[in-house]
Amino acid sequence: MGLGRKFAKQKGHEEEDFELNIASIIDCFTVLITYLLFTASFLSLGVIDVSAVTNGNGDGTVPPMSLAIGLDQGRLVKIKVSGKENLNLTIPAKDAHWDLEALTEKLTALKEKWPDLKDAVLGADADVEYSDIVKALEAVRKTLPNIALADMQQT
Amino acid sequence: MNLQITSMADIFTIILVFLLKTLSTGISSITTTDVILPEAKAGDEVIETVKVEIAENSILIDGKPTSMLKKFRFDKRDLESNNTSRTLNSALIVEMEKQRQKEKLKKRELASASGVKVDESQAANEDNPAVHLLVLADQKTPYATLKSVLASASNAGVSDFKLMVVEDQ
Repeated sequence: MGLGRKFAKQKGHEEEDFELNIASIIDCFTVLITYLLFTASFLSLGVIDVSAVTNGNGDGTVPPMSLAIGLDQGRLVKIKVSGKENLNLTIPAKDAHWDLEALTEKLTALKEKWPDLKDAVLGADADVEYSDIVKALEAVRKTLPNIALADMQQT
Repeated sequence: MNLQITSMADIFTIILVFLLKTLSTGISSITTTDVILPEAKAGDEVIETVKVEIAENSILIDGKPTSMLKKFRFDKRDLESNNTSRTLNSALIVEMEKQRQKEKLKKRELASASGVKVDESQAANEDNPAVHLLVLADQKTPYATLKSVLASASNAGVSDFKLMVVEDQ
């Protein structure tokens, strides 16, 4: 049923017809839609949670295992595991870029071996661009949700 | 002849409802005029807190320019021995203290509204509530500048950073 309605009212022998005037409503709708279309943001924003590097868990205890990832200016990804096991891995560049797929695979393998591993420290050379840091953060977050950013020397 | 605009009104109603539903009502004032945010697939929800924008020529805190940059780099005269910016350090300390006061007030109002008694440990936490920092950095920002901003914020008592990204659909 539409908005236009015809009302008929019988008053004795007299018949009265009403036509609902929706032209003014249409005007309001047009103005509102135009305003909303102009102000609408079609970009969806999100945030990636990171922390700054601290020594230990903040309560004075040192975690049993720590994992540090470094993005090298020469497009190498360096992984350093220390604690229960000490490991130094280097992932070579792929198509002149950091091989983040290989990084995810390595981290998944480490996580399977050490399920209590939850934290990672990410560092990079001074000239590495923020967009590359975000891509690396995304790759690490798939397996290790708690990431801290540090200097390259700390990783 | 009467113009039949009933169906048009119906379409307009549907469009209006759709636009109102998709209208972002969360964070009120994100203006990134000079900043091109990086894209990422996964992202958590944006929260309302102090915003730091890193653009090519300046750093802005809640829209106010605080430090000057030259091609995303700090002026060497503005740098402390620990590679943090003097101007940014002092501005962040002031802003984070304001944010802490706001958080305290909000918590007290919530506690008084719900009628919950606050014990000593909670009161101690209230004196130093956790504050977050929303970082809106241009995708070309070098890591050295980003790290310097995070170090300045750490000095001001921030431990949790939220790096803003455009969600890649």
